[in-house]
This record gives sequence, C-alpha cells and structure tokens, in this order.
Amino acid sequence: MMILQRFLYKFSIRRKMIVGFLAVSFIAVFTIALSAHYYYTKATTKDFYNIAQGSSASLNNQLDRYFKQMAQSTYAMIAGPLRDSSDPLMTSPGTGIIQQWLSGKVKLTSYNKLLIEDLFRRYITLNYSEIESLVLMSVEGGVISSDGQSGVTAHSQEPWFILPFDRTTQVIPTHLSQPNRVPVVSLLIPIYSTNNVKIVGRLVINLSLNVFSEIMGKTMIGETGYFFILSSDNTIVFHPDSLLQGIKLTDSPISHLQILEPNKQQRVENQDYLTTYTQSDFTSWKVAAVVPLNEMATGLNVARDSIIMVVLLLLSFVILIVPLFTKLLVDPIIKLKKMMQEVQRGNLAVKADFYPGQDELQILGSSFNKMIIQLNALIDKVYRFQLREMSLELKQKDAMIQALQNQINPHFLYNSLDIIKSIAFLEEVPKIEKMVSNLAAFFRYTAKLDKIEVNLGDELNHLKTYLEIIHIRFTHNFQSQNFVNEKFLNVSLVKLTLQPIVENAVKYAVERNNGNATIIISAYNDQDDLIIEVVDNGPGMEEDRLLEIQQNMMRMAAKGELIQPTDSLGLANVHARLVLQYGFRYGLTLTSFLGRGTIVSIRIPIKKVKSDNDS
Amino acid sequence: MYHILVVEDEPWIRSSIVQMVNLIDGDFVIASEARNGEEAWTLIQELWPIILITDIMMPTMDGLTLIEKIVEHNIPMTFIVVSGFDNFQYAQKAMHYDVSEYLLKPVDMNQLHNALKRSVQQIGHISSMNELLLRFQKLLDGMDPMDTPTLFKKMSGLIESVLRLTFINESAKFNLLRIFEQKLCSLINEESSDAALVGLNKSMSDLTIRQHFQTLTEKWMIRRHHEEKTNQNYIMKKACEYIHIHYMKDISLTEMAEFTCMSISHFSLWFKRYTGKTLVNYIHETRINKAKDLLRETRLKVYEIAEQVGFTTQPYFIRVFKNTMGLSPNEYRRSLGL
Repeated sequence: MMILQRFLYKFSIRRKMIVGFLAVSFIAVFTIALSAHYYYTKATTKDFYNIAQGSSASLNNQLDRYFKQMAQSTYAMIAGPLRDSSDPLMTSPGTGIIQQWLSGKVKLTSYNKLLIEDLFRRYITLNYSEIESLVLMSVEGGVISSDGQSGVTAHSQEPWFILPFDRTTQVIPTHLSQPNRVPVVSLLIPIYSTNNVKIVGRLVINLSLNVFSEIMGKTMIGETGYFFILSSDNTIVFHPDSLLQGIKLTDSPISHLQILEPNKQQRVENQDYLTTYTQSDFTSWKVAAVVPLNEMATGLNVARDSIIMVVLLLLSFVILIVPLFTKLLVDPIIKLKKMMQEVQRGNLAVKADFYPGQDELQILGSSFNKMIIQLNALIDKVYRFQLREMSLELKQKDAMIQALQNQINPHFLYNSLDIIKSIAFLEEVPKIEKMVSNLAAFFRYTAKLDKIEVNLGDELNHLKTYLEIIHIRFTHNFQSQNFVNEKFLNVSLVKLTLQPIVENAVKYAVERNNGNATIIISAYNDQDDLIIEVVDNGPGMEEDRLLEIQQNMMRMAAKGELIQPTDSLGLANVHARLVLQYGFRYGLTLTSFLGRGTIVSIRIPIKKVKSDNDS
Repeated sequence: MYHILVVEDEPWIRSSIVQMVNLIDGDFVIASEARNGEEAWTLIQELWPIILITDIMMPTMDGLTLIEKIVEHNIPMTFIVVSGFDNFQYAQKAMHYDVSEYLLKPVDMNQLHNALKRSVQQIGHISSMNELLLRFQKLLDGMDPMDTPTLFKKMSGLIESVLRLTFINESAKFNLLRIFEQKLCSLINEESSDAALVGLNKSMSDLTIRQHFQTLTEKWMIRRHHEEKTNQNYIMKKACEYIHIHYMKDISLTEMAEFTCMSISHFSLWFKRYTGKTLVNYIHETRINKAKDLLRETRLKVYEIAEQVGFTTQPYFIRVFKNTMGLSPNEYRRSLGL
C-alpha cells in the first residue's frame, strides 16, 4: 500500500487525474459495449428461434393440411368411385369399379384397368397437377398405376410396396419413383371396403417435390438461411438444393448439422449456425430452419458498429474533456503552489484570487490568504516592535542629549563667557578676551546644526577662530597661512569639514613639535571639482598609521555610518560625510612624507551657494 | 551727544559695556545703567536716552518687553540688543520692533563700535525730538533755578517749538506732545492718572494744545509748590546716608526704591531733585571720595582701594577716577606729595 502511494506520489496530480479518468472511462465504455453485445446477441438469437419456430410450425401445418386435403380429395374416388351427380343412372362405366375390384367382386379386366387408370389420370389433371402418379394397391398385391405401369413387377421395389397395410394415412419420404426415377414423396391412404370397412387396399399418391418448392420455396430466412424437411428416419425430404433430396442426412454434405433438439447454436466448418425445428404429429417430419449466425448478426454488426462508434466518440470526448476538466481541477492547486513558492521567496504581498464556495481548493486558497495576512500582521508587529524599541532608544538618546544640552544651556555658557570676557576687558587682559571670544564663536558655530552645507567662507572663518585659539596656545612658534582665493569662498561644502582636519594636523604635527610647525590651507580647482589642501610640516605619518587611517576612511564610507570620532577617526568621519553627501569620487586623500609632513586633500564638487549677492 | 542707557543684569558685563562705550570715540555718553527692564523704563522717562543697549534675558522685565513698551509709547530711540542666544525667534521679534543691531555675547568692542556708528546714522530726525525731550526734562527737573514766570515762558516756548517742527510729520509731533502730556500728568498725580487731565487728541488746534499744556503746567506748579513743603527731603537724606554706608556694594535703583518705600520712578525723581545727580553718578562720586580718603590716609595699594570702595576691577576704578578727577589715583597721591 505504501509502495503504491509512494509510486503515485512520483507523478503530478494532473497526470494521475488524466490517467485515472481515462481508465475509468475505458472500463465503463467497454463494459457497456460487451454487455450490449452479449444481450443483443442473446435477444436476437431468441427472436430468431421464435420466428424460425413459428415459420417452421406453420410450414408443418401447411404440409399436414395439404396432405390431409390430398387424402380427403381421394375419398370419393376410392369409395367407388361414387356416382356422379350428372349420372344419376350410374351409367358411367367407372362407377364403383375400384371398390368392386378391391373387394374382389369383379375381376380385373384390362378394360377395368384402363378405366381405373383413366379415372386416375382424370383426377390428377382435374385436381393436383403436382401429383406424379397415383398407384392403387390391393391387399392381394395387385397394382394399378396412373402412369400405366400397372403390375407388381414395376413397383415391387417401391418403399410403400413392402409396407404392411395400416389403418393410418402414411407419408413416405422422398424416394425415387420406380419406373421414372423421379424423386417423389408418397402418401399412403388406406382404402376400406364400403361394405364391411375392412382394409382392402391402399392408394399411393406420388407427389413430385414441386409441392414443397411451392409451399416452402420462397420461405427464406435472411439471405442464406433456409428451411429443409427431414423425415423421422433422417431422410432429407426437401432441401433447397435438390441434389440432397431423398438421401439420408448422415450421407449428405450437411451431415454435420444435428437436428436433434430445437433451438441450437452449432459450429460447422468455422461458421456458427443457428438451427431449430418443429415436428409434425401427422408426418413426424421435422421442418428445420438453418441460419448462419453471421447472417443473423447483420443486426448485431450494426449494433456492434454503433457501439464502436459510440465508444470512439466517448473516447475522443474523454480525451478532449478529461485534460480540460483536469486542468480545471488542478489549476487552482498549481496557482496555490506558485503563490506558496512566491511566499517561500519572501514575497508576502501575494494574494490568491479565490471565490467563496464549498470547493476545498477555494477554501484552501482563502485560508492561504488569511495565513498570509496573519503572517504579514505578525511581521508588521515584530517590525513595529523593533521600530518602537529603536525609537525608544533614540528617544533615550535624545533625552540624554537634551539633558546634556540643558547642562550647558547656551544662555549660561555664553553669559559666563561674556562675564569672563568682561572681566578680561575691565582688567585689560586682551589675550583672555580674544580667547574667550574665539571660544564662544567656535562653540556657537559647532553647536548650530541647522545646515548640512555651508560655504567655504564660513568654514574658513570658523577655522580662523579655531586657529586664533591655537595661536594663543603656542604664542610665537606656531604659524598658519590661508591661501584660499576669494573666488572660492562661495563654494558650498559639508559643514565642519575643514576644522577637524586642521585639528588633526594640530594634534599630530603642531603639538608634537611643541608648536614649532606651520599649517597651510590652499585651494585650486580641478575642472569641476575643488581641491582644498591642508598641509603641515610635522613629523609625518608612519606607513602603518597611514594605512590604518585610510582603512578607517574606507570602512566608514562603505558602511555609510558615522562612528564616534575617536583619535584618528576624525578624518574618517569627515571622509564618510563627504562621500555620503557627494558620492564615492569625493572625499579625503592622505599623503604623508615621514619626517617632512602630511598633506590632506579634500575633493568636493564646485557648486556655489546661492546667496543674495549672486542674484 | 548721544545719551546711552545700558541695561544688563550681569554687573561685570554691564560695567564692561559701559567701559567700552566710554572708550569708543564719538559723541557717546552713558546716561545711566539699569539692571532690568523696569529700572530702565523708569530711567528712560527721566533721562530720555537716544540709544538703548539691552540684554534680553533679565529678571522682572526682559529686554524685548522693554523695547515693546518704548515702541508702544512712541519714545524716539534706537536699540542695540545684546544676547547670548543665536535664536531665530528672538531675532525675529527684535526685528519686529525695528531693532537693527543684534550683538552676540560675548560683546566685542569693535562690533559694538560698528553697531553704534550704524545706529547714529539711523538716528536722523529722532535726535531733534530727543533734544526737545531733554529740554522738557530739564524744565521739569528745575535744575536751573528760575522764577515761575520764566518757567511758564520756557514751557510755552517748548510747546511752541514742538508745534513748529517742520521736518517731522504730524503724528510724530503728536506723539511727542503725548509724551509731554503723560509726563506732566504723572507728575501731577502719581498714584492715579486723572482722566480729566488727559485730553490731547489729534483734532485739536494748535491754540487748544497750547491752552491744554498751560493748564497742565499750572497744575504741575501747584503740585510742585505743595510738595516742596512735605518732608521728602528727610527721606532723601536718609537715602544718601544709606549710600554713604553701603557704597562698596552694588546698590541698585530697585534696592533704593525699596529702602525709601517709593516707586522706582518716584525715588529716581526725588533723588535727582535732592542731589542733582543720578543714583549711579552719586554712588560713583561717593566711592571716589572714599577712595581719595583712602589714598590720602592709608598706604593701601590702588587695587586694594578699588576693591574696598566697591569697584569691580582696578582698571575700571582708575578709569572712573580719572574721569572724575582728571588724574589717575597714583598721580593724585603724588600730587599730594605722598
């Protein structure tokens, strides 16, 4: 069972459904076809039997009646012949001659003999032309024949000659009449004496086989089916093929047909035959009907053909419809499968088009949609949760910054600075005044974060306040020069670019040389870019340190995040901000000559700050 | 001469600004100093300075409120605001009151100088109005001893010259007269302003205006005569005694007003009438006199003396001493042969 299941799982539902549907359709169609064929054949056969039996029985009847009429028609003759109504005086010489002869009252004279013969001939001519001959046979063995061949010798070979006299009318099946050797059927009618009702002789009526041809000749069954008559001793009395008449069935070419029981289907020489018969009580003959089965089967064939047609139609229908139907059933599954694959890839925006109803797949589809919605909601929830956490964190940071800012509230700071400056002024200490003024300006510029970009002039002013403090620090030794051409003062750049670089130079060049250093700031344009150079004549950087700073710069620019500037990260921070603002082409470049100094080049795009002066 | 009022609650900064103004070339004179807007408002109505240098953040009345009040009363002045805040809202509000100069703390002398120069350029016709105000105040102060007929004559002459002003428009003229009227009214009835007295309106003819001011002057004279008989002089004597004891401290107008149980304006008025000086000047004079005593009688160093008499720094003391005496403390000692 498991193996079967596993085997089935190998194939797609679509294929399974197609194969399944086709199999069921084929089985159904074939069952119908077979059973139809079987029952149809059976019904046809039965019909055949009925019809054939009916026909055979009616043929028998006709034969019986014919024979009886024949017998009766001779009664008048053999009872006298009886007096003719046109001869009331019995003047006719023939009257009563047969009775007289048979009862032995008169001797058979040649005259009498002629009379009787003539009587017979007249009878044949007037009544039944199919009568081959009439033969009168007395108990004593005298024979008078209508064909003139009277005498015992001529008829001693006849089958009826040897037959004992009987009170019943008998029929002798086909045999050859003696002198003429014509196939005939003989009817034996007993003749009773009109005086004492003793059997005195018999009248033999030799009937030519035309009788049967007349009666049965046109009675056919189908195209090749036929009737034939078989006597009780299995002699073929009549057969459409006249050659077979008069011979025993067992000697005939159709000996293989067995006419022993009615309603039989038998196989002869690779052909099925249906046979049936009825037996006459009068003659004990069997009228048999023989039809080849395939003859009967013309109807059957039509039925079979139509069934095949129907089957073919059904099959083509099935072949056409099944894939469509399967598609109809399987498509939602495939659709669902695609959706799920989408979800698997991470696309949660999918929505299945499903319609309400009892269809399990539609229910599955709507469940899938609900699942996606829930999944989205969950993700959203988690996302919002994270966001909230982040904003909380940010808020905390904001609060901290706020607290820090409150601690150095600007009013307090600048008021205090002004008090220091006022004291310095009143006490006449100009250096303190200058320092405080520059410090205040420095703080004010740094703390004011309203603009991302400022113009170079602002940056240089800010740098000046910073450098003035440094100048006071290193009273005489430190030198700084600003060679930036005035035409560049309107170029905009990221705020607080210049001062941190100079601060870095102060830290590594000026402080280490105890103030014995010079910082030079210059600028020149390289096509559409402005290069600002901060040059110091300090000790320069070791290669390792240069590399470290350059790596820091690259890392920060790549990550796009600003790390808290600690130590050498000041330069990296500036670089990252420039890259973020202007792109990877821009930023800082470091060149250092050990023992001779360092050059920091700032590359920025030239774009002028729109000022009122320009317009 | 451009009279300047410096308003700043920080004594060091205030002193520093005053000192800067003194050092700056030009016709600048410090009319007085105030610690807050309220003191300043009182002083303005007596000293009529033409330039106001004020801080923003101050107790009782901040700088912007003070400026708002001045503008409301149409007093002809220009303003220089000094603030620690580089704050757009403050700057905007200041701009709204025509404050053209906004200096950031710490105040730089060059910046202050430039601001003063620009302010002078702006003053223009205000100065003549200011002059009239000063003349008016002088009459009210009664600094120059004169008889009643002369006073009447001078007062009507002043009104006349206001009416004859040609270079200012009618409404400016009217505003000036309204300031005169209010000032007189406040002198006549300090506690409650008598509605009957305030009757000036724009539709009045020059003749009616003259008559109106004549009535007001009359009433003021009666009041003044009446007041001279009261013992305000005793209170002012007590105030002077208080100053002579506490001169080394930073004595403010507010403090003195509280001591005398008067309003700041009332005290200011009576103190000036009694001593002929403003409180700041009187304190300075007292301190310098004490310093002279100490210079003569002790061997204390100059900076020690400066500290003892209440000057915040030695150079400041020296400057003030020089301004009053015409020579430095050490020169003073030497001139006495000490």
